[in-house]
Amino acid sequence: MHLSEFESIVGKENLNYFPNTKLVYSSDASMYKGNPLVVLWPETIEQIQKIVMIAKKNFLDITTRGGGTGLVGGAVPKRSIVLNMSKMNKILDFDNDSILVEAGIVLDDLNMILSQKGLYFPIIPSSHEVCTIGGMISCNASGKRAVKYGSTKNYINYLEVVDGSGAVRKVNDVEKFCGTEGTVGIIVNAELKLEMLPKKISMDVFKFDRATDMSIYTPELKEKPQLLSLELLDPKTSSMLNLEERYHLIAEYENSLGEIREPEEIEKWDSLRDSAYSKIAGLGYSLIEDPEILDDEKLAVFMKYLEGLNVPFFGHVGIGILHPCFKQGTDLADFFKTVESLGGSVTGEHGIGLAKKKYTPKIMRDKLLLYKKSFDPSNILNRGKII
Amino acid sequence: MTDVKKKPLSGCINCGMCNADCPTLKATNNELFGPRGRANMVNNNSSDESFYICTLCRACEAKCPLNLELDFRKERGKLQRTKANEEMIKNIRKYGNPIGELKDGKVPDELYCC
Ligand SMILES: Cc1cc2nc3c(=O)[nH]c(=O)nc-3n(C[C@H](O)[C@H](O)[C@H](O)COP(=O)(O)OP(=O)(O)OC[C@H]3O[C@@H](n4cnc5c(N)ncnc54)[C@H](O)[C@@H]3O)c2cc1C
Ligand code: SF4
Ligand code: SF4
Repeated sequence: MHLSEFESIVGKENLNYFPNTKLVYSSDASMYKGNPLVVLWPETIEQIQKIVMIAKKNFLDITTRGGGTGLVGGAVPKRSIVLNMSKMNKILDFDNDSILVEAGIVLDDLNMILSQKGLYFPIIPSSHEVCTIGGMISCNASGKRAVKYGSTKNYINYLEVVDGSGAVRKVNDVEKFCGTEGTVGIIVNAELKLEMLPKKISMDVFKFDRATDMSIYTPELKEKPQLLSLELLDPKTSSMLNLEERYHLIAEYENSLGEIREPEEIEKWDSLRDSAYSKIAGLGYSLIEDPEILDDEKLAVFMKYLEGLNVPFFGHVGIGILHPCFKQGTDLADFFKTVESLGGSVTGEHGIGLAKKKYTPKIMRDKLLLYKKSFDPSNILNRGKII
Repeated sequence: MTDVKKKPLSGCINCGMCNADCPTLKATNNELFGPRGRANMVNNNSSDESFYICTLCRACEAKCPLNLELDFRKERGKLQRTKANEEMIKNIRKYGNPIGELKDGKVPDELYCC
C-alpha cells in the first residue's frame, strides 16, 4: 500500500489504518459490512486531488463518507480508501439567497447557523442531526418537507467535484449528478439555495383505519399552499411508537392553520416521526425500502398490498415515498415487481448502494455508465455501488 | 415522563443518531471517538484506550431512539484491570493502603500510586 504517500499528503494525524478504526469505518447505517484499507481525513481540495491521482495510478477504490447514515451501504468500503469528509465542513461564502459550503458540513450545524438569519436549507431527512450535505446530494435525499420543497437536487445551484482523474470540475447540471452516490465524483463544495424559516408552525393529525380512507384527506391537504409536510404512519408503526394502532396522517403547515400549535406538542410529533425507522429496526424490521409511487390511486393500491404483507410502513406520503420495513433476508423480488407494475421506482430517496444493485433499472445503469465514462473512466470511485 | 429501563447495547442497529451531540466526536471528527463507533467496538469485544477519551457525559444515550444503555464506564473499568492496578486494589483491601505492608525502614520497590 501507499501509506507513506498518503501520509505525506494529509499528515500523520489525518490517516489511520489501525484495526479499531477500520472496524468503525467498515459500515454505515445499513446492515452491510466492508473493509477499509485506510481512513483519510482530507482538509483541502488539493489533498483530495492528490489522493485520487495515487488511487488512479494504483487502481485503488475510494469510498467517500459523510455522516455514515446511509441505509443502502453506499459508504461501505470494499477494500477501499475511506475518504472521510468530516474535516471539510466550513462555510465559504454567504448571501441572503444562497450559501457556499464544504461538503462535509452536517445539516443541523448548517441550519443552526442559518437560523440566526431567519433562513434554512429546507430539505430535512430524519437523520438531519448527523447527515452531511455531501451525503444528501449523493443520495438525493428528501425528507419530511419534500411535499413543499422536493429533494436535495432542487436546492443546489452548482457543485465543485473532484473527478476520477483528480481534476476539479464545476457541475451545473446538478439534476444529473445528484443521486450518483459517490460513483462519479467527490463533492468538495456546494452552493445551496435557501428558504426563509417559517415563522409559525402548526399541525393536524388525522387518524383512520383503512388505507383507502387516506383519499378522504390527501387531495384537499395537498391543495393547501401552507402545507409543509404530509407524513404517514401505518397502524403497525403507530403501535411500535406507542400510539393507537391506527393510521396517523400528520400534516404540518407554515402558519396557524392546524389545531396543534404548542411547540412542545409539535416537537413530540416531529421526533416520533424522526425516530420511526430506528424504533422499527430495533424490533427486527431493519431492512428499509423507499419506493416512490407518484399516482395517488396507485399509492392506495400499494398500501393495501403492504397491509397484506403484514409489515410496518411509514413515509413521506405527500410525495409518494413509503418506507416498508422488512426483516433482514426477506426475498423482495415480488415486492419490487409490484412497485414496477404500479409505475413506481425502486428508490425515492435512499439510493441504491449495495442493497438494491440487483434492481437497478437498465436505463439508470446505462446512464450512469455513460456519466462515469466522462468523469471516472478508470472506475476508482465507489466501485461496485449502484452498478 | 417515566424513566424507561435502558436496553443492552447488543441491540444497536448502527443508525448513528447517537453521534449527534457527542463532544469527543465533534472535537476529533473521528468515529473511533464517537458513540456509534464505541458501541461497535463493545459489540465486537474490541475495546481500546480510545475509551479514555470518552467524557462519560451520556449525551449519546439521550439521543438513542432505541433507549440503549451507552454507559462506557464499564469498558473503562475493564481496561483498568492492569497488573499494577490489580496489585494496588489487593493492597488496599489487605493493608488499607496502595503500597502494601508498611514496615519500618522499608522503601517501596514498586509504587502503585503517589
Ligand atoms: C434514522 C435514519 C433516518 C433517515 N431518514 C431519511 C429521510 O427522511 N430521507 C432521506 O432521504 N434519507 C434518510 N436517511 C438516509 C440517509 O440519512 C441519507 O441518505 C443521508 O443523505 C446520508 O448522508 P450521510 O452524510 O450520512 O452520507 P453517508 O452515509 O456517509 O454516504 C451516503 C452516500 O453518499 C456518498 N457520499 C457522501 N459524501 C460524499 C461526498 N462529499 N462526495 C461524494 N459522495 C459522497 C457515499 O459514498 C455514499 O454512497 C435516514 C437514515 C437514518 C439512519
Ligand atoms: S458519553 Fe462518551 S460517547 Fe457518549 S456522548 Fe459523551 S463523550 Fe460521546
Ligand atoms: S443511536 Fe442507539 S441504535 Fe443507533 S447507533 Fe447509536 S447506540 Fe446504536
